[in-house]
Amino acid sequence: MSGILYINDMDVAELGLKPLDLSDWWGAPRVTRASASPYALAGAIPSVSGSYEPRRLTLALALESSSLAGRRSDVDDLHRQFQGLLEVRLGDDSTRVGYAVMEGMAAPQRHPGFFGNTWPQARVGPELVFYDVCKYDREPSLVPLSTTPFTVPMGTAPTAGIYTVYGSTSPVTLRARAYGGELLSDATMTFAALQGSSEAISVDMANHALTFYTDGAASSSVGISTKLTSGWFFGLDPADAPAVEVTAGSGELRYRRRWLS
Amino acid sequence: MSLITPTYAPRAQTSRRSRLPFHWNAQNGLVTTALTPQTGTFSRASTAPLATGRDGRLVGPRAQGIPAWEAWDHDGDGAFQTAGLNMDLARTNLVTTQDISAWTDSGSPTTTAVPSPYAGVSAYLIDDNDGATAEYKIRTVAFTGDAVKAIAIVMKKGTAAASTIVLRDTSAGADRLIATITWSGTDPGTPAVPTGTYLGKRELWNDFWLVLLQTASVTAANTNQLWLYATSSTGADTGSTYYALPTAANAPFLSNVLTASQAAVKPDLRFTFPFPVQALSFYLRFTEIGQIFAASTGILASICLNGTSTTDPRLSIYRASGGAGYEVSWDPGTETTATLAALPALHQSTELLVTLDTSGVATIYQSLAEAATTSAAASAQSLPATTTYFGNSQADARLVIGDIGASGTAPGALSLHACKVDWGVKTMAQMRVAF
Repeated sequence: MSGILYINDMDVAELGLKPLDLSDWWGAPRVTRASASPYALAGAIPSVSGSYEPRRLTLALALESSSLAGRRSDVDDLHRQFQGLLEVRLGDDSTRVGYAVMEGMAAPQRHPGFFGNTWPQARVGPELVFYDVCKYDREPSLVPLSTTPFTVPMGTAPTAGIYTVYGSTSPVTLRARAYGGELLSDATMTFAALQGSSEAISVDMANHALTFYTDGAASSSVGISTKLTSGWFFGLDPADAPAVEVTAGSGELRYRRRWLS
Repeated sequence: MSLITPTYAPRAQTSRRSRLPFHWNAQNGLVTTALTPQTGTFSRASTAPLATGRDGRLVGPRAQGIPAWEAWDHDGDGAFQTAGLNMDLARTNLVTTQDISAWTDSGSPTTTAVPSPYAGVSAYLIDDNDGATAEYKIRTVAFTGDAVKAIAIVMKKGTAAASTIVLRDTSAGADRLIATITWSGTDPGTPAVPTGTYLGKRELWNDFWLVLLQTASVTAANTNQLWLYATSSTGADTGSTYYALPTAANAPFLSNVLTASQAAVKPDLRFTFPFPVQALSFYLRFTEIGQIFAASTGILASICLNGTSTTDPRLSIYRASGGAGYEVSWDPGTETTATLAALPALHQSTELLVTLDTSGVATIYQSLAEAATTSAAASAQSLPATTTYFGNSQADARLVIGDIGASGTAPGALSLHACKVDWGVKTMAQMRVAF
């Protein structure tokens, strides 16, 4: 039987924790937009672009220790397990994960000193902050790039991914098309000619990083302007139902679908 | 004076970090970087075979030095969701053109190009409509060395009820492979192979299938021809079959197809492992891609070897020639081994765990498709002094995937999903979720 809540692949039950309340795990992130009041019209028009506020989830977990000493050690284990960037997922929704850091933990337990008995059980409330508000496919996706447009399966939020282009001796353009086939003008990157199978370009769209492979050796020291002759890094928006292609050679896109809830 | 202000918080960690001594998995963004700080080195001197992408279409061939990521559909839902790093053996495709329409005709089959699972090469619909003689396409394959050879091909049902593939030695007038696929819906089922061996199959995009076959021993100096029938080899039968990416290799098995004349070489993945020998648990999760068919000794994976030689102490996991199952070798100076009783099936999700306890006993555990764990224990060989490193050198100690320490000396084949090390003796269930 699968567990309820997993932190970095570990069922929190293994830490002596029983989930009681998962806050608004299923909720969507809050969007902040600017707006403008158009002349001579009632109402306000929201800005096309907006930004998400970090999601904050306060979990309610029962700590089921068997002794006071055990409670201390269990709480320490909890702090160790909740350090760093956490991959969080639910047992009944195990294909999607979110990434969070713990930024506080309430522990409103009864203290034995007040009640005259030992009470090792406690309730703890780790506050998880998802600075990346979206959830991701737990497993990455891999799709081929060729001169035939490939419709990229998307989630409900934009995604970036890492493209690798190889096998073209002529200048190659990496680009995306919208549903219906029209080229997306801001989703195109043209590179200088590759030297056949011995050279490749890897494009990390999220981090704006290019890596060049020549005879199998990776190098990031070549300036972007040396190889990138036009265009700029781009992401894919599910609103476009995008398809990606290269104008010569072949390649691949590695990415994770992103979801708003 | 306080050296650290009371408001000093632990460092914000912006990437996922495992607290294990070593942890790598393909799921973590398809990168060869570990989730632990060890330095990883990936290299491959040439291209890789084609590999399966998200919807069963084929990706590649990767350029030199580009890791060959692939995806597996272990739950059979049609979505290829389980990420792996293809660590296949060196293979060269002896089929020099995959334009099947240009192959020699026997009879007068019609040939029509259609999209295949790989965008770079068409599939071809071969049609036999005369109802009198069996019609097929012919291509000569120049093998080197008399031995069992591998054939891999992508196929899809056309209108034929059955489809036959033959490797014919026309010099000797003998068949080295006869495989007849009787279609069950779009599924090739288990082909009848009176000559040669059927190794396995895998579903790809749009009802295409990858079919893996093995010939009987060929005589390389003779003329060996690959015959692709439109239907069965019975002359009165009519119908059609789709074929794509025919591949033949001087090797006993292929894990995937290659492009025409493509020469793919084995990659090399290794990590620094600067820890002394001690009780530990070493966990691997991978998809079996053919090591079980290896005719000669093959090392699947090994841990903590000197990166340039095979200096002791070393702990290795491998499948030896003819071995009943995977094997652990623990060699602090004198080797002791233990072998599991059963091998995985082709394309099966496989977990191996090797534990080394404080008494110097190495035990290997196996779980197939997350089923019950089986095990085998080797006799004890005492642990060396606590200052001794694997490979007898802290600077050179390596965790090597798919090989022993010296690159290429005993390569193995696997599609790697995860590799972890933890201190002490842990169970399969613990290592499965350890982070």
